[in-house]
Amino acid sequence: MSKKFNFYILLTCLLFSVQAQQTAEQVSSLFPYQKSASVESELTKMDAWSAKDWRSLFKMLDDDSLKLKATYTVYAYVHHANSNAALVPATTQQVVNGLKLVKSFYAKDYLIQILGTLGSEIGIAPLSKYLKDPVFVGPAARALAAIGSDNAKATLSSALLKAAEPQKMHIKAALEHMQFKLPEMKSEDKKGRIGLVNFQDPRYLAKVQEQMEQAKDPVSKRSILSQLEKVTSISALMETAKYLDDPVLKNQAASIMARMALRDKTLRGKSPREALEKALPLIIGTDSISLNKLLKNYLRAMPYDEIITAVVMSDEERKQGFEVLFDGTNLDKWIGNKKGYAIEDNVIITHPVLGGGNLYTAEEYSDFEYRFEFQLTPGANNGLGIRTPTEGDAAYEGMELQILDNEAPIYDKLKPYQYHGSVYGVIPAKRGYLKPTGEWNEQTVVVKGSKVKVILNGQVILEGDIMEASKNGTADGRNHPGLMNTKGHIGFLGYGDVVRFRNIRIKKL
Amino acid sequence: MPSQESKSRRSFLRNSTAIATGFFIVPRHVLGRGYIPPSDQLTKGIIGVGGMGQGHIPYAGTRVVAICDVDKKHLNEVANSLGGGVKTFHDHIELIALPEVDIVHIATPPHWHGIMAIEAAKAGKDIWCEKPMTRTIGEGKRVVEAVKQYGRMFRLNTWFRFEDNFYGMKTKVKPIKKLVDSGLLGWPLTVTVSQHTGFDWKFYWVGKTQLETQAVPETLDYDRWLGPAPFKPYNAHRVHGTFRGYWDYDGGGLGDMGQHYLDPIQYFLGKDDTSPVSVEVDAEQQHPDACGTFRKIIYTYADGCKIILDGEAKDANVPYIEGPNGKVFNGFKSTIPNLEDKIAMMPDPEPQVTDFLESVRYRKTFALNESNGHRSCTIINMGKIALQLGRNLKFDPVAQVFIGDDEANRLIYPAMRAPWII
Repeated sequence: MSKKFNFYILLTCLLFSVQAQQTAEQVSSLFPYQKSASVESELTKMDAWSAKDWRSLFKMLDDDSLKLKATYTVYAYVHHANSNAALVPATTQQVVNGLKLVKSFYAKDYLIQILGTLGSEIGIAPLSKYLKDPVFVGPAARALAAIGSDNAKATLSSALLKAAEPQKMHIKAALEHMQFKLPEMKSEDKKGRIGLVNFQDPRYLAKVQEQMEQAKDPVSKRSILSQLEKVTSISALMETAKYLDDPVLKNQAASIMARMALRDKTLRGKSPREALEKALPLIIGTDSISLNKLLKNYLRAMPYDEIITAVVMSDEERKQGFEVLFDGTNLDKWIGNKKGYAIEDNVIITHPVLGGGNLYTAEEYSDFEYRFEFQLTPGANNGLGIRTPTEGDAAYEGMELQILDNEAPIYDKLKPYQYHGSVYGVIPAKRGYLKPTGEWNEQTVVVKGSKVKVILNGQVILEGDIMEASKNGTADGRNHPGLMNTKGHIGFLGYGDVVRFRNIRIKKL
Repeated sequence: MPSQESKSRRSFLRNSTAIATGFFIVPRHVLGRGYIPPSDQLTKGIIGVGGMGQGHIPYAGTRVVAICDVDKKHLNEVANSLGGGVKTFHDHIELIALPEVDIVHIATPPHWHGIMAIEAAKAGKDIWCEKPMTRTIGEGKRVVEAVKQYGRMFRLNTWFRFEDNFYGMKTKVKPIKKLVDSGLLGWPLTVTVSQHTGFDWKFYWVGKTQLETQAVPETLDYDRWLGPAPFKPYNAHRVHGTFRGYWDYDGGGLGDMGQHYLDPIQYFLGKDDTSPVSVEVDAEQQHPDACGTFRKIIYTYADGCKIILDGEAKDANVPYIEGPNGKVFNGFKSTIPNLEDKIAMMPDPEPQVTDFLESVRYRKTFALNESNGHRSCTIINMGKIALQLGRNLKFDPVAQVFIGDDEANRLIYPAMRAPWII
């Protein structure tokens, strides 16, 4: 070749390499990026980089003043390549070339690590050469472990056979690591529950008592005590009160009792009052200020009552001459279907399956004020018979004040006189004052002469005169001879749904 | 293996009905309330007695019988301050093997936590470990496995899910838990951890990128300090007070405060046995060695709950918790009227074991243990990986692996520097 020709070739090569260096340095000035989106296009351009471009970039890793930006650039590109599988082999090849090129510890260490990050088999052979090197055996072995393939494993195994310490230790460790399988993680079964589903079942309380007797350590005892809070009954309250003397449990018991009382206002009476007063000073901790205040107010407002366990009426009512018809303990003042109407947890509950027929007051009443509480289940249909005989259909032989879950979808097309509180078939009641099913409603029925008034949860929903309402025929067009009755029993007229009644009292007018 | 003597000593503690009324020379009431006489005291050995490690000395009224550190200066300082009478070690394996140590306290930087916790479990010790629980998700899985396999009691050194006022919320976590459980806020919920909701991300924990090589101080065994971490030339900024700035040992502000802030959230969202299904990141590019900061990290759970880590703190009015039916702000302020009274009336959540000594004595799982601690730590470790890769990731919360991202999965269980292995 002529000298001139060589010269031109040399010149061209120089020009190319200078250009490549500019490209690498220019690009690296964009890194580290502030927002990943801002370098998307640049990274894509790098997909088309030549081997020369890459060499320029890697060389920067050997230069203390340039290596920071080169580090960031390589890092960003490697992540970019890893999210696009097609780019990984070519990128790995470039890094392999770079590894041959760089000289500093920093650069070699970095690129060996990068080969692991890329995870490609192309890195295996180059890495295996470093398994003999006392400085880089560790990073190289770990990079092979990161690649993780059978070939990588085989490479480590065969190198182990020929290795001497300290290389042996590193190769062995990497192989062991590859052998380990991480444990399979499964969701834990929740333990430590008592395992009964029906908290209102009286047997639940007995179970809690049993478990508490067997519990040996404070942790178990606290856990068992917390289960008592799920029950709402006086028995649960008094059971919890037993622990007000237990040094480990007293504060927890006191808080539980306070919350029980505040959530269920029927937990009243002499013993509950005494127990709650004992609990009051023992309420400490996070909610204590609120609980203290709320419970004090509650105790102040709680009426003092007599011998009855479940409180049925207030002091006011007693003074006004009300008489208890049902106090939660017995059906002595009632006749009729005592199978289908049973007492459970101090309330009357209908058991439609157990027997048909109505429940009536033993006595007959003419003018009266009748107060009671009732709780509906979805779709429930019952009725309050007024001035009714104990035979026949009370709605016609007497009067019926409807008891109904107004909001149930099946009832959305009834006639106005069919909804809750209405004198059935005769006078419609106002709708919209029932509490949601599952909550207790308070109702007062005042019957005086031909005047009927129904107050539901404090709201007058019906106030009418049955003679006036029926003088030109009844609203439902049927005969209601019972409207003429001057006296009769008061009854619950079941229709096959579960309904609960409590706190029933009456005053003759 | 514990010696015969130590085995019978600990069995005495466990089986004796006279735990509270042991044999004393001095009658109990003379010692005053709350004082546990030495013969009843459980003992501890602390590994890592630099900064945080010294904080472990008074914990729980247990007696320090041994300390370990790879920096002779720290070791001697603390030994002196304890007035002698504690055994001192350079090698943590020797401390863990001591028969007279009941509980091993691990107060080293996070890259050692996994190895030491497993060693301690194998040796039959109970464990009190600094947060974050482990540097990687894989190590966390290993610790959970070992603690269960060897039947040990494990707790983390974070506690907000059961005690103390929760930073800017100025209340304990219990009322927050009750409020969430009541359903008053609706579901799903979004929780934002930001300066404006009362949480500081401690972004001063950033690493330096152009560390020059320095001479290793005479008192420090740097090779042992590094342990399982890759070898990098010594610089004082890597170790002791500033290790948090380096991915090899920790994870910046996210690693430091992450578990304090995130564990209670995981608790009140009821997510103790699951993980987010995705993590999205918005941050400056991260350096492979030095941790940086972040603008936002957003975790989403399968049911739509979100946790937003806000490093930018632009929105001053962002609620701490936001649900379809209600919001809660910094200082536990809310739009719900009479909130305090309402919450007071709600049933308490399941009681937790909040005294580690009860956990150890009665062998009852502690409130913040290896299982739920691993889960809240995983939230952090997912975030670290997403930050390093600079992209959003999807996660399988049952298998605990990333979906469709091999590079991310290679960071779950990276190989350790020999001779350390997990």
